[in-house]
Amino acid sequence: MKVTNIEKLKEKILKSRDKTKTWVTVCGGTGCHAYGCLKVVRAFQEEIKRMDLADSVGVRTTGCHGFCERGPLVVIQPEGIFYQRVGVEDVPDIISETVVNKKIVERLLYQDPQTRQTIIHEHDVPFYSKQKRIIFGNNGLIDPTDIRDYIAVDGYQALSKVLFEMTAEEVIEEIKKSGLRGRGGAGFLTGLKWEICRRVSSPIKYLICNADEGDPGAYMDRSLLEGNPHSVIEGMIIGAYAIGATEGFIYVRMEYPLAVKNITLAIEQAREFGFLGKSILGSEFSFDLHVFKGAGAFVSGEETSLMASIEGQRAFPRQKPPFPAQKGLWGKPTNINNVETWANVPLIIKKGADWYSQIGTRTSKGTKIFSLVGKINNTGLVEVPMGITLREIIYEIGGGIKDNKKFKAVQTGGPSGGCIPAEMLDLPIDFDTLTKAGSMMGSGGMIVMDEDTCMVDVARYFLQFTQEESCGKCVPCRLGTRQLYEILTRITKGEGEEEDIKRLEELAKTVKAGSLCGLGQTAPNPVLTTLKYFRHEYEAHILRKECPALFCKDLIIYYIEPERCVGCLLCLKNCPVGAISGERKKVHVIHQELCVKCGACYEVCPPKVKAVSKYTGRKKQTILKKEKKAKE
Amino acid sequence: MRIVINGQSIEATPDKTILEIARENDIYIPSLCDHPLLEPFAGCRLCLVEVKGRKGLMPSCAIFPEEGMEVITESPKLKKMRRNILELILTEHPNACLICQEKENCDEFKSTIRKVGEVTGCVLCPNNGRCELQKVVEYIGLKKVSYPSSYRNEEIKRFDPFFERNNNLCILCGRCVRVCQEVRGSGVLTFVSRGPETVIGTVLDKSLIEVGCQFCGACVDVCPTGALEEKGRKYELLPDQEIKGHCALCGVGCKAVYELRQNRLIGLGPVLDSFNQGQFCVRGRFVLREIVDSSHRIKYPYRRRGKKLEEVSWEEALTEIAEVLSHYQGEEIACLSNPGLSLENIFAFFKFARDVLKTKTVYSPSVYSSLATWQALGLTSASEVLNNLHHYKEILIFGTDLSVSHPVYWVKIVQAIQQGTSLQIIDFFPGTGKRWAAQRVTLSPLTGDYLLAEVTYQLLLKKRERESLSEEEKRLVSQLEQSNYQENLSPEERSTASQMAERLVQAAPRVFLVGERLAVGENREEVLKLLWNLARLSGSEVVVLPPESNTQGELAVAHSLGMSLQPFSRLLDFMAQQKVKVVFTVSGMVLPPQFKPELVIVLDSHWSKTAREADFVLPATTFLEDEGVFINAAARVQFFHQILPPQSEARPEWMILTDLAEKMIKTFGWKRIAGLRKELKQEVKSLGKASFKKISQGEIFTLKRRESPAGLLEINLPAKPLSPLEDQEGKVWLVLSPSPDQYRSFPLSEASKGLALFRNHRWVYFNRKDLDALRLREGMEINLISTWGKIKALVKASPDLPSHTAYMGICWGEAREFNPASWLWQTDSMIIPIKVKRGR
Repeated sequence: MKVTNIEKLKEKILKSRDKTKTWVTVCGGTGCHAYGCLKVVRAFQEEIKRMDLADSVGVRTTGCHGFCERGPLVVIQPEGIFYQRVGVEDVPDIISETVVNKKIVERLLYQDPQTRQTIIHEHDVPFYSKQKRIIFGNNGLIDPTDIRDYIAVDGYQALSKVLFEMTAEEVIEEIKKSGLRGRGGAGFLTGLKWEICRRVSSPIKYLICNADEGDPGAYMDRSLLEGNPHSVIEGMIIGAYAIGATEGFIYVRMEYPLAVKNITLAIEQAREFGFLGKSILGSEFSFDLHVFKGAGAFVSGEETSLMASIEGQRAFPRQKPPFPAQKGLWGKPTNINNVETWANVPLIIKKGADWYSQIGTRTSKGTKIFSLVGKINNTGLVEVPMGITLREIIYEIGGGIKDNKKFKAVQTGGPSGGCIPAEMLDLPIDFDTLTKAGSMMGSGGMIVMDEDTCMVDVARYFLQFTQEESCGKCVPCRLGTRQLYEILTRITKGEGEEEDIKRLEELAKTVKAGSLCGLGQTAPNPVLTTLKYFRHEYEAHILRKECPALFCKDLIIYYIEPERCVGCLLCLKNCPVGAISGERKKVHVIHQELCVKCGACYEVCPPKVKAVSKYTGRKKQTILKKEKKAKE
Repeated sequence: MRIVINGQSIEATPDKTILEIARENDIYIPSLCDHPLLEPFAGCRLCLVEVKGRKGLMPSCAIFPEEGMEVITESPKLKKMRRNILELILTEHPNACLICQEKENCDEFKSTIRKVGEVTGCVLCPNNGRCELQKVVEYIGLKKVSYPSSYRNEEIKRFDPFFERNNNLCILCGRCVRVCQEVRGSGVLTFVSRGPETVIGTVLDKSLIEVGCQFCGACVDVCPTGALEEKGRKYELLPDQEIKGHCALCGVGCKAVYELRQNRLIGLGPVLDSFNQGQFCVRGRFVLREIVDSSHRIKYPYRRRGKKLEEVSWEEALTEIAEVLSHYQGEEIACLSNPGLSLENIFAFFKFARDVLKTKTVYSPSVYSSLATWQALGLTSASEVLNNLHHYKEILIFGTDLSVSHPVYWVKIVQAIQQGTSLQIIDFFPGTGKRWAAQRVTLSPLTGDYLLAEVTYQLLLKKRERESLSEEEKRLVSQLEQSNYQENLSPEERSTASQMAERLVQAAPRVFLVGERLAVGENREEVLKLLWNLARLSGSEVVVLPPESNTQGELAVAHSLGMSLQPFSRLLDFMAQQKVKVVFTVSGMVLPPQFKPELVIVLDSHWSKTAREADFVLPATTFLEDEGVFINAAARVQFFHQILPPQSEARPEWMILTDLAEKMIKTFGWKRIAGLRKELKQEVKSLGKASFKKISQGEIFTLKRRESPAGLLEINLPAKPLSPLEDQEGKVWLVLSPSPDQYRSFPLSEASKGLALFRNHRWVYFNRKDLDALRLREGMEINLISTWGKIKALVKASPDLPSHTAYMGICWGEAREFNPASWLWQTDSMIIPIKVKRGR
């Protein structure tokens, strides 16, 4: 079926749908998948069949709703009743109570951990109410495997507008006016990027969607491709029209099987409906898209190595200039944008640049999706307007730190970003403020850390990641990151030397300034920011051989406080190496020379008793000395 | 445009990088990954510079000048950066010697032997003194490495021939990977793993032989450290003398620089600033050294005493030869020449045959070359276009694996393809270069001429649709229509022909390169005529490649002296008539078993079966021990300087022949080579205005192409093709063609074990299906039996060979029991029906 009039099609789709029908929407995002949402979906289908409700009730598996902490999520539409942590056993209740009798199943409602209030509707949940879900919102409404759902929510209307009402220049002008900046990390102005590529004359130009999301803990691009693939495709077709591209690629990593499946299906459907291929929507414009599966190297997210990978070569970046707009894929002018950037495009066209540029700060417009992970109550994907403060994200949307611990820092931008300390919680987030703070927007990873996190170890963790993922082409990145990692490892082991801080700083500078591509140029950021904001922790590790967060194994001991121990044998039984001795009702002792510091005793000691403590530094030494003396 | 480097205003061109411009102006910027042959890599980051107005530091090897650009190559910041980066490089590379306090004393006083398993410092490194890393360390003045070493500690890969790979010395500049891919088009080396684990390796860590390496040595030549090191070179020190010369192991004639130490050849490499642009092949790079200094060399004159050859003095040998030779004359003496000799020596030999021995006939392998047949047909080869292959939009290679027969021309073709030229390979034997071909046509050796005839016919038909045909074209159409060749073609072959014709009818600058494998049967002439016609009809140039280093020269000399070159089958006729009694040969050319001449005199550089059975053996020099002129495939007259002193008592042929003539009391010969050259120039008219002196000083002189008189040639196709041998068990057609791996008929793999591992002259190729049908396995020794006797060979599989066809390359001087060439004394065809029998 080749569509020529999108408005009519939408009406037709809406007309064919029974408006009185109740829809049970189940989140089918990756997080909920892990919780077993597919079983829930099947249970719903069976239950509806059993109750013979198929005419009045439908089940829809949607994309990610974002509130992954509470999955599997179920929303009953059109009322918007929000159930969380739904299991297969809850399904009959939901059907019989909510769907048939229009009653609420109280036990499945979300309870605000702070106010202890139960909340019925999705939009009232604080996690959602503070967000501005202009990109991500449709995820929860549509079935990503059915193009009709997307069209029903005004999908492909922006494309129609562009093809029949706007020239390519006008499209670029609109995007420029909106102030949209690339969501992939560097934040280059999208409109300007398009304009540069448009100006290069070439019969063949390529368009690429960078979906090689590889930051640890980040999954927003994945969720967009899984949950709303057509928004990305529509954005790309509009971009192709503006730039004059003939062919496009979506570079998605192999480890995202659902994203691959959904985007591939979406492309097929778009082709079938005439949104892709020859003379799109009956216009003179032709464009087609292909999915390219990457093998999962982090460096492939760098645009030049991504192109090398599509060309079938090893994913090595190359020196820029020439930029992809001049010499890109197979030497042809190429425009690369990130998934989220592309998803923003239809929205800007549909609602206008003026509307869009109202959202956000002076230099950064629109919203940004962050993946909020780490030591936070509400893990999930959040979409917020630029300029929102860290405090709002972490405490209001994120629901604060787990177990009421103290907030210490947040790492933004993944391994390329930096750690922002508690003092800067009121920092309004946009591209420039983050860069100024020594971190970066990156693709939007946000890892929250509490007081138990050792900042040296955090830097070590990220450097381990970057050194492993360095492509090996340039010396500073390949060997510099390894040396950084090794120095950091040394420090966390208590083998740090006084010059190590200076050495770290100097090496970090070399790697930053000397590396070929973005990976190496940003790899030292975690070291530099932790050195900037948490220097005292480094000094504690090196000078006093102590880990203030009581995290680094080599610098701490586990110790049973004799005055608190009740002799319950719990730790003794759980110690994997038999390092604890003691008898029932008698004080237990940890033999330090046998202890492997797994922390099992610390975990199992009943909270009422809390006899196992961790010590570092001077206190550790005193205890060790005391024990030694006692032995003698 | 003008740019400013370090405050100095410099004229620049936009096609050169800042690094190149700086070097041209004597501004040193350290760099380890850049190489003039390769695309910018920007990996080592040592060449970072500051560019005014640009953010951050830029690698000068990857940026190009812009008007008014200001570049700073030296600043405290850069210095610090380079030092730091170099320190990082040295964490992986053994560095003890580089930063040792005793370095200076050690360099001066301590020499070392390098028979160590592991290189832990420069003094133990085979590349000591030639290492680019050493130079950079010296320039930067590094005295300390502040990071702990992270030595890779990998096992050295010694299992491949010619060179070993020591990843512990590798600095991952990627030059080897890039030269293999970008320049040679092979891509056998690659980066493996990522992060600090990254190393250079092969797919699945296989050996180089397994992954199809041709051992051209380009990777070894570009390696800045000792990571890739020639095996034989390892224990040698630095050369005390470097001489520029050429290689004469094929028709390309690459320029080489020979490294000598105490008059001994310790190494050689290609010259960057030359036609071959720093490229070589396995023959020149590795095998040449093995055959020059080899136990197979003939070192002294020998005379037969009963069953034994005994060493004698030159005086004795020559006197005796003169004496016996005086009993024979004219056609009684068969003179066997060879195209591997210099023009002077060929000239001397031919003239000796004509004036002293009074014979008008010389027998030479050159007769079997396509070039000889081509010239006999009165056609000329557009040889000089080989220098400009990149000008052609389409290149068609007929019947040769250019990457083996003329490797450096193959390199040029790979470069041309990368610039948009399209390649077609028309052959029956799948070569290593096949993946570069836009189209491949498998030509059955049995019906190849019919297929080419069909291409001609289709081409003419397509032409007729566009324009009216000329008279001769019309004649050709009717001629082709009358012969019933079409019924011998399969429908697939006809559609292939139609496709080929479709491409040929498009106008494009196009060149045909013709090798030895196509025109092998009795229809040799017809095939070449068909090719000529196709070229005429499609407006293409044709180059017929000479198989050996001086085939062009030998043919020219024979022509000028009015001598007739004859195939060996002709000799057999004379033998049958008891006319031939003496063989006088300058190569180890095999003699058939039934041939028992009264006297055999061998004048050669290497031992052969023929030499071992001869009555007199005289040691000749190789081209490295004598100066001389060679005419290469592109018709360039090249002067080969003398590089080495003659081995033991070896002498150049012209000298030996002069002395021999003197003993025979004949007026013949020359006191000095200059005299010979003067005469040579007078006699060989095609040399024209060539000045040997100027050529020896580096002037490039190309022989002028004769006008080709012929229009379209008449075709006389044989009515019946060679019948397939399908019904007869164990019978196949054996197709022969001269192997490029020989030096004056001495098989190179005889002296080079390395070469024998991947290109053995004793291999006979079958396709896999035939192997199964014949119940043979790879590596098996089998007997090939023809009407004229049997030979032994080793089985090798070749996937795409046509069925019921076997293929074998001939080395003329190979021992009789392995040499199919001995059959060529009885037949002129190189397609021979044989029976295969499992050996032992």
